[in-house]
Amino acid sequence: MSIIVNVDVMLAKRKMSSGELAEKVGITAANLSILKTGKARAIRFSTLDAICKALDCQPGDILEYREEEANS
Amino acid sequence: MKNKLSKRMGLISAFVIFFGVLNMIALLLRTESAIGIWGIWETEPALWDGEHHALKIVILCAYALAGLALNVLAMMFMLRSVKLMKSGFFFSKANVVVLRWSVLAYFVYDLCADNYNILCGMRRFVVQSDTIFLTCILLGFAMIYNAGLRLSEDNKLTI
Repeated sequence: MSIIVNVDVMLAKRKMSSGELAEKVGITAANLSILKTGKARAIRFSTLDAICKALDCQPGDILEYREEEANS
Repeated sequence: MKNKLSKRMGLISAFVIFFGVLNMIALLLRTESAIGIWGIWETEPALWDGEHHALKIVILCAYALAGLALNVLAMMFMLRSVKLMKSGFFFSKANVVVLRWSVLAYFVYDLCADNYNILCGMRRFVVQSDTIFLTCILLGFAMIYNAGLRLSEDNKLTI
């Protein structure tokens, strides 16, 4: 997918653990892992809102669009 | 609501299993009567000395096998659905496969049932409209179920 999830980068910047973020956001560690690994198909606005609040950042800091290279 | 639905599904499954087993017994009895082993099933006997011998064997075998397969698949589908419902999900990939095979089994079974009289000497091979109509409906249901599975997977991966 062309959407990259940069939660890891933000976690490192804020020096926060995944478990702590999951607890603050109110999602399971397994679901946070799905999000971090890019396996998630969609993200709810409420989850995005909670992540931005917990990490004190903007949605653009977490999500990034990168054009996929065409397979030759 | 989920509990109520689960109970209803359990009840329907019990019906499917009960009638499925009865149907399978009837199928086996009818088939063995056509072959002429014991002749328990009171029906017009199959004529094995006439023409189209290979076609008669194909119809009888396909009728028995597709009928048994259809009943087993229906029971599998219902039991899996009840089990899935208890675990909180409604759809599974395995059930999509079961439904697709059911479509094929139903088509073969119904086609052979419509042409069962060939075994008794009738010369016409027929394809009735209800066979095609019900097969299409079953195929449509299988496709809708598959779409439901995809939606459920999407929902599961929505964080």
